[in-house]
Amino acid sequence: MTAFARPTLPEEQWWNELLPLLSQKGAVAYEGTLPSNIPVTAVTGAAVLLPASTDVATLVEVPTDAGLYVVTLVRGSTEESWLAERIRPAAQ
Amino acid sequence: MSDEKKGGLGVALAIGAPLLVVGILLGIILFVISPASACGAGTGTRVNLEAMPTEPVAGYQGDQLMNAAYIMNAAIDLGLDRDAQVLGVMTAMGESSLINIDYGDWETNGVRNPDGTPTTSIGLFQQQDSWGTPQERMDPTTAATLFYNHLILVDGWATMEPTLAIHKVQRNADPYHYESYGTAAEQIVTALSGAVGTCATGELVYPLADGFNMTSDYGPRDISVAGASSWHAATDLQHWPNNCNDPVYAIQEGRVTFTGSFQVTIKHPDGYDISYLHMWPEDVIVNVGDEVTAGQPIGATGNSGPSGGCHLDLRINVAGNTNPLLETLVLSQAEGAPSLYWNFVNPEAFYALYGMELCGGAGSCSRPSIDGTELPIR
Repeated sequence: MTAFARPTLPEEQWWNELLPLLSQKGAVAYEGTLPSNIPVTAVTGAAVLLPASTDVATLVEVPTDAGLYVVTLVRGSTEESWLAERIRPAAQ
Repeated sequence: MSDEKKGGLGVALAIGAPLLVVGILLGIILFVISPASACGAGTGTRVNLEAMPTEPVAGYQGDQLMNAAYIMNAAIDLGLDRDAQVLGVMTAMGESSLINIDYGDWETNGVRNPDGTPTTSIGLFQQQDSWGTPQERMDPTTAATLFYNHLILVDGWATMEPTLAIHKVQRNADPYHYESYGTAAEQIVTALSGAVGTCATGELVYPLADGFNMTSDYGPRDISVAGASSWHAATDLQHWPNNCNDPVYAIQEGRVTFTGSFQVTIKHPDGYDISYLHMWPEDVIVNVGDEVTAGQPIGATGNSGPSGGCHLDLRINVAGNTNPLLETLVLSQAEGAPSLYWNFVNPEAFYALYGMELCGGAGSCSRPSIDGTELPIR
């Protein structure tokens, strides 16, 4: 989330630093994003793990200066680290 | 009676193997031709601007529908198909609610460019000044043409998830922003295209709110949940991972003929049955004998019965059908289903009769996977 919330970074640097944190699908989705269009600049509190998680997919709620965000995390197996697939404003 | 049943099963088993082979062949043929034969899909239709609907469509009306028509016709002028028409309408919904606004993110949210200058986005597609003159960006046809000229340069745009293809052009913060407009865009494109010869009539809607996923296909499958069927006469849908207690809507009108255990069945006036499975009985809000309309809430997703997690199992049985159009659908027995699951049809093919895509098209449903593995809940 912190790596995502940097709208003032040059496009290339923003992407290079975010990419290792994204799942394959996340990378396909977020490629081409203009960081300057991102309304978030800071995480403002502790993240909360939402219910309905499995070993390979989970949702994390993150408070930001642009409101609540929900990050979808996935991993191929319990041996692997979590990667972000979706980084979206929480549904109103 | 029990002998008869046994006999029936025996016959089914004896002819099961050749049927399966034929079923697979038919399945392949069906799969290959279905996109082209789907009603309303494929080549787009030019909108007759003199014959616009006077009633709202999917909550959009008047100038909004006219703007959708300009977008659809811009696609046709570029030689693009119906999917492209839907993409364009989805984009303008997500950017401007199909209203040709002469202001944008700077005026509403103070959004600035990286160099600190105010953004200059205007029009149906909220295009900045690098896209064209203000006159060009405020002209619906030209703005749509500018959009499509960028879209067709995106590698694989026609096979990507629609919202992602749009994102490659619009470059917003949220690649999934356009996802929730798929259903409405489909409905508008269908409505403005006029009556299509072989289309079914009558209202059909999706059983869950926009943005749902399909987690198990119709047909044969491997299954680990005890009691769940190895030949799946249904389509499993859910909003992963918020898959529980999610409102379920009747997809068509009809009379409720069964509620109990983990199933609600609604009989259409044309005699076929649509069933909704796995809702907890206490969440079901219709009763036997009730007349329901398309889109009426009937309950909420649950995990009742043989189920590995909250989802909606949607199945359509055409045993009592009197509608000739539905007779064009391939029956489950022709695809190798055991006799317990005869007379079902693929819900995706059913939606295609109405010019709608249940899953995998420009509509609201996607097949999620994690590195190629289907999500675990069935």
